[in-house]
Amino acid sequence: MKVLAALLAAAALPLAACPLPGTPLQSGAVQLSWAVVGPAIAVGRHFVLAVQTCPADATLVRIDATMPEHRHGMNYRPSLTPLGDGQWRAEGLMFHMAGRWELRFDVDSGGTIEHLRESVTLP
Amino acid sequence: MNGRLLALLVSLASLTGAPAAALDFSADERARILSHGPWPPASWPDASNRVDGRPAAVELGRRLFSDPALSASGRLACASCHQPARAFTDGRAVARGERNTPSLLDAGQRRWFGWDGAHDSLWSASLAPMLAAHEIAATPAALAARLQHDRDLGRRYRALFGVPQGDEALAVNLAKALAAYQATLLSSRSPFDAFRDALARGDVRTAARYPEAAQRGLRLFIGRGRCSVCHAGPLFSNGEFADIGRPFFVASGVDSGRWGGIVRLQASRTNRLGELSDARPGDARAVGTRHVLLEPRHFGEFKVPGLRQLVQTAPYMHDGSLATIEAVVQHYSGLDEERLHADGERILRALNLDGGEAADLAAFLRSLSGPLTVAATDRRRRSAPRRRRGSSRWPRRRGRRCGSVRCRTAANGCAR
Repeated sequence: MKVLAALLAAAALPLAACPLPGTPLQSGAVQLSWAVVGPAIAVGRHFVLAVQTCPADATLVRIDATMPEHRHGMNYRPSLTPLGDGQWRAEGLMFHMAGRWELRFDVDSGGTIEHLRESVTLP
Repeated sequence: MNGRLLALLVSLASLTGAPAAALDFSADERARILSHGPWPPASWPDASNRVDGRPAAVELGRRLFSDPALSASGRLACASCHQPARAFTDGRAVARGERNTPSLLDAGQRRWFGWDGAHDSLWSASLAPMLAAHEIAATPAALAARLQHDRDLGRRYRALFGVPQGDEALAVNLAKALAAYQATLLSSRSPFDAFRDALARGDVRTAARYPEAAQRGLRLFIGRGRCSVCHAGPLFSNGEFADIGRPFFVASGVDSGRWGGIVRLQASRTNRLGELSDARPGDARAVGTRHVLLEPRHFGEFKVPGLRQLVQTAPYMHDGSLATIEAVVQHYSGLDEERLHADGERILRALNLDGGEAADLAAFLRSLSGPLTVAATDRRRRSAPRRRRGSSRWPRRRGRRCGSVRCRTAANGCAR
């Protein structure tokens, strides 16, 4: 009985994480929050992101970033690692210029791809 | 300290007879200026090279660097083109290839090597010219024979690497010793560094000693000129690649630049992901190699060079086509935007500098050069503790001068 309860609790964890606290990004029914792991983002330095999706069974398909004013993207394609419970680790990102970057997260939720964006400006 | 307070202090300094020539930089400007330091930087250990930072490897690499007997001709050493007295360049537009010889100063801080970034480590970048037919033109067998012939080199090799396990492994190990030596080569502190540090600690008197023309040029560099968008950080480079409108036609056709560099990097057995790397899987410095993206826009891009010791590293650009700092400034002042923006990117704009502004920008660029004293130190020795993040404290410089080169190798010998 205890095992069954634990399994039910584990299954319920992802849903319990929704809605995400704070002011997450939102598109359709998908919410997403992200944070830099380790040192703050600096020009020309690779960085790592921790990403949380809601619902937790959504799939983070892609992360990309572009400089709209410059009309170019990053020189690297980030890799995504699922950590379970809607948590992801993204490695290989780099903003190689100062200025405004637009981070884009593509999330597949139930067959629908939602695009969530946020601007980040490096001085 | 905010800008108004600094301006007030400058005014007070003028009343007390101290020089008063520090511009009133805004808080935003000061933050940008501070981002170009401190200097020297913390060391960046290279796990792909198991002898990186070892004094015996630095010394072996130093000897190999100046040894013409390694070459097929018997007359060409690494130091023939990377001349210590010329900040490890050769003063020529192009050398034995179709590109300008880059300086090796601060090489240990770089992510990519070569104008096209075809190498992701110093040892891989050292192995290639050693074996290239148009450069050192050695063969692994000839290198093995050289170590047998020179007992001192052979003894030093065996003390570091043990008995050679095949000629190819020997060649790679020699490249790793060469890399250990090159990783110790650092640009000296410049007038800009003294100004930047003075600004950081609110030392108005020292800051005011920095020439006004250089300060105006600095303001252009971080402001309207937007130079620091790419020439970022303490190295004055983001470590990446750009097309700045220089020609990429060469005698043999077209220099594909970064595009070809990525192709070669990914095909190379000597990249950080290959079996010749000493790093464990997940090497943090291999993150660029694991994730680098090959796109058509990389065609004709070349590495954004660092700007330290600029005075001693002319001529400039990947093809050495600009002879002076003034010519470089004029290039950016009159950029051909139609040529640059043909592929849709809109990064660079012609600066359209007047004569005074161009002179100011050149003055600033010159101020990034210190005396040509190569701090060839093993900075990872216990006697020289690693700098803590955010700390401005550094071990005092030690060593004796050898002509124009300051030497701080373990053996304290000359670096040339």
